[in-house]
Amino acid sequence: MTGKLLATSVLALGVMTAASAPALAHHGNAAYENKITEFKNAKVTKVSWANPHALVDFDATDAKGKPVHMVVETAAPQALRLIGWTKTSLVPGDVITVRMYVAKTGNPVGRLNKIILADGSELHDTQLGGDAGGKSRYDPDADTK
Amino acid sequence: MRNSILASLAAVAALLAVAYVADPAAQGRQGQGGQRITGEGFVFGGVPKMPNPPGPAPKRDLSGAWVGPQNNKADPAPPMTPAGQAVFKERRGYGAATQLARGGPEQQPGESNDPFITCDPLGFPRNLLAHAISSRGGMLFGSAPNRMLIAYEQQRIWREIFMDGRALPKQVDVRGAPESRYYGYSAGHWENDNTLVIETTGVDERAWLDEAGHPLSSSAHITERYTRPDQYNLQLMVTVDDPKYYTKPWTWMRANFYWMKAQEFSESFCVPSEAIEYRDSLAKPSGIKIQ
Repeated sequence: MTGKLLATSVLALGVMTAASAPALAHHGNAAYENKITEFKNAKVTKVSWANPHALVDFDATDAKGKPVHMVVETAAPQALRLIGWTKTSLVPGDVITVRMYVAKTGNPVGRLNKIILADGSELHDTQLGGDAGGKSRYDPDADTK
Repeated sequence: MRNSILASLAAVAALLAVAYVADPAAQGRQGQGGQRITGEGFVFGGVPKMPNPPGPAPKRDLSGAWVGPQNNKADPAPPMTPAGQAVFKERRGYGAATQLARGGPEQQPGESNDPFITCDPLGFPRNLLAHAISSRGGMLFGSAPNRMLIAYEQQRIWREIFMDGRALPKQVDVRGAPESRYYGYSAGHWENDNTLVIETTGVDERAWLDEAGHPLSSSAHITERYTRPDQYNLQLMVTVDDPKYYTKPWTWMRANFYWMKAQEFSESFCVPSEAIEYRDSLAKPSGIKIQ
């Protein structure tokens, strides 16, 4: 009886802690470069906390020192909430560092890797938010495994 | 003996719970709002574990809020009939699901004609996948006279499941028959004290079965089987039988749902104006030329 009960408990725990399957990408990422481009001292001008993807608009300078206005997409709010974002994590006027995969078209748009806030804390994308680069996925549980 | 073991397990669970509160290092990641949302103590991101071992399931009762699907292990769609292939050929999804379903390299998303791009209804059973916006969502079982209600967090829509033994439409959209509907017509019954079976017919053919664009005809018969093994777990198996478009029935979903500790929903809509802004300010300039 004891063994059976303990086995049942362990099984139940196993079921409840089963790792979640990664969400399917809402759309593919073939449109974006494979390398990360970083924008320091980027100033947030607009945040669209919206479906199907949240958007962050910001002003920055490119590698040649030329002013640029960029729009970067990330996951849906529903998915971002699960990894620590809120609607007010970013507000217009915030000065941040943006790491992103820019569009192959050359237009000033792209997909987020992560944002580094002024206090050093980070906001990752889900789909391409991994610190390993190479369009790796962000695993929020990595530091607890 | 049994009681003492259960008491010991409860004591361990209580100690662990106290440890979580007392030891910030054990609390995993903090959300920007200061809420712990993942790591130890969670089934997965955003879904807290409930006390273990769970209590028994109440009899013939699913009322309350659940979150899922998780760990979906569906069977692949069977070969389509010529009629099904003809519809599928016109569907162009825009994601990883499409790549998997069609077995080829990811197509340029600009070709997509997924009706959800501009927030047309997901319809049943695609709404069960929930991943049109994220990968899972809340689902609330409630009741009204003669029927059970299921409300869904994503899109804030609901279904009525009649429990009074009524027959479902055998045909729709022909003279003398009811109209097809995005969420069809549903009737349910309890197979036993822990298993609810829901049958659905009469769905609207404009809705896609999944993100890949698999078709579903208005003559399809969809069966959901909800089994609640204990207080905090719910298993769902969905079979699709659509002889017009597929050569045989198959298990379209086999997944877990979990009791939502907070029993509260967020609001998650596909808003047409936001979807259009996304299309015009991000997708098109990126080369994602969604229609």
